[in-house]
Amino acid sequence: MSVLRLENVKKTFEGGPEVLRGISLTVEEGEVVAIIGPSGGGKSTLLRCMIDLEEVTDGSIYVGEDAMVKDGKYCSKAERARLISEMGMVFQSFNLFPHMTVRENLIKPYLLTKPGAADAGEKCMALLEKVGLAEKKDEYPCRLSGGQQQRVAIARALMRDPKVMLFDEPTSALDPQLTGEVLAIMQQLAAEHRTMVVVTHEMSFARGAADRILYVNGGLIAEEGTPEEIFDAPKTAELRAFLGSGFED
Amino acid sequence: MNLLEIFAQVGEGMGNSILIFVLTLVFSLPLGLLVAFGRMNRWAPLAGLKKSKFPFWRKAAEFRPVQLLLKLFISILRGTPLMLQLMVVYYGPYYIFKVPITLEYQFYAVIIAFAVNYAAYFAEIYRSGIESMPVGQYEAAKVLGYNKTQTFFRIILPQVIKRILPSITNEVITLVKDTSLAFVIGYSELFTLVKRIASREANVLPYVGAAIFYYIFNLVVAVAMEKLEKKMNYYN
Repeated sequence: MSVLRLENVKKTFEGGPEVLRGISLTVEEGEVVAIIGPSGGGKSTLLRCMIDLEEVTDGSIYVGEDAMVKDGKYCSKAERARLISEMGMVFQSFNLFPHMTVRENLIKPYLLTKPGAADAGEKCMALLEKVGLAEKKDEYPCRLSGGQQQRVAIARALMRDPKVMLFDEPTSALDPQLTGEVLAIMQQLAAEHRTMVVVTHEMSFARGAADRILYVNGGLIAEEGTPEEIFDAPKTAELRAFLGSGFED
Repeated sequence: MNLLEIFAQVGEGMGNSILIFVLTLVFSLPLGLLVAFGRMNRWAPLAGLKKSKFPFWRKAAEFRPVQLLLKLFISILRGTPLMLQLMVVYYGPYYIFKVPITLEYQFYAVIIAFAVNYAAYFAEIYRSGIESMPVGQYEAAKVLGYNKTQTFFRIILPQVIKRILPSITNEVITLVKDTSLAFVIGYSELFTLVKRIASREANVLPYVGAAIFYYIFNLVVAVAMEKLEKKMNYYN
């Protein structure tokens, strides 16, 4: 069953060029989809449209069976909020709440949508264990390294057990020596068959963890396939040039 | 007039000065937030004209009446002396509507003028704080299920308060000294009474006493604000 389905999604920023020019894709349950491509090609915008941080100008987005937007027409505000809540998002710049401790960052948003949930504390600690930061539960984010902050952000997004996790260049803001700890957790999630859509420049991650790779450029899915197809036998000259331009390890 | 009477009068003046100070903050801090909201309001009733062929109508599409009104409000209140504003609030009703001025109204006039004036300053401080917040905080709140009100009061405002506290401290310290402006309509705060006593006794000592009072008042305020700032330093 598809978790996320996009049909002919188009997006034009006001007074700007068309960033997405008709993108259709389906994310199946348990699938890990990596989106690669040059900067400005529309991959982050595409991901942000999925979770309603950007509005599409045309096309449809289905979360599970339900349409968030159909032929450019959005559903009700309450329904949009409900559909967003089925997804988790990890940002490039972590976006933890600096005035809350690590524990509060996980628990407070969770209790907001599930008031009085008895499992909040337990769930929080289990997830912090999972990302290896249980002992940091009472620290404020400013006391953590970038890699640690991003791991907390991943744990926070997992609190509601989302049907799909969206990652927007999760390691791009990190020092090179810190990307490994974040990628390791993402690899673990992939191994657990969590449904994930990952916009990334980390080609080794895309190759090793993704089931399917989309090469997005010029607002379109220019090429799509398994990691082997994309990396070992790129069909277009464009993708070959992209992969040869220093992104490949 | 014996010393005891003078002390009693000065004591009453101090009490009234502190009362102006406290009530001004109580009313202007929330009012300032409301003004800031209005100042940031983006309601544009003519936005539909954005795509018009004519430059005039395209310009009209950007017309934001609420924002414009609040901009004007802030501009006037920050651009004219508080002393004049006090006079307008106190004498205005009589000159404009022929409403007789009562002595009771004197107190209300002082509080209204101070609260509105300080709200204008606080509004701009709030606005600068709110606009300095990274958009990522709003986005994270949205995907985590916070609605707009919850996002503002639970995520944005707590961080904004920490950011703007030094600017607020500045205003609060100015307010301590500004309370003396109420003398212009004869309200019996400290400065009004000291002036009266000094001219009656032909002695400048009361002024020295007033200076000491304002200084100590401000010292207390400054220490309290510093404590508050330290308390907010639990994160960076």
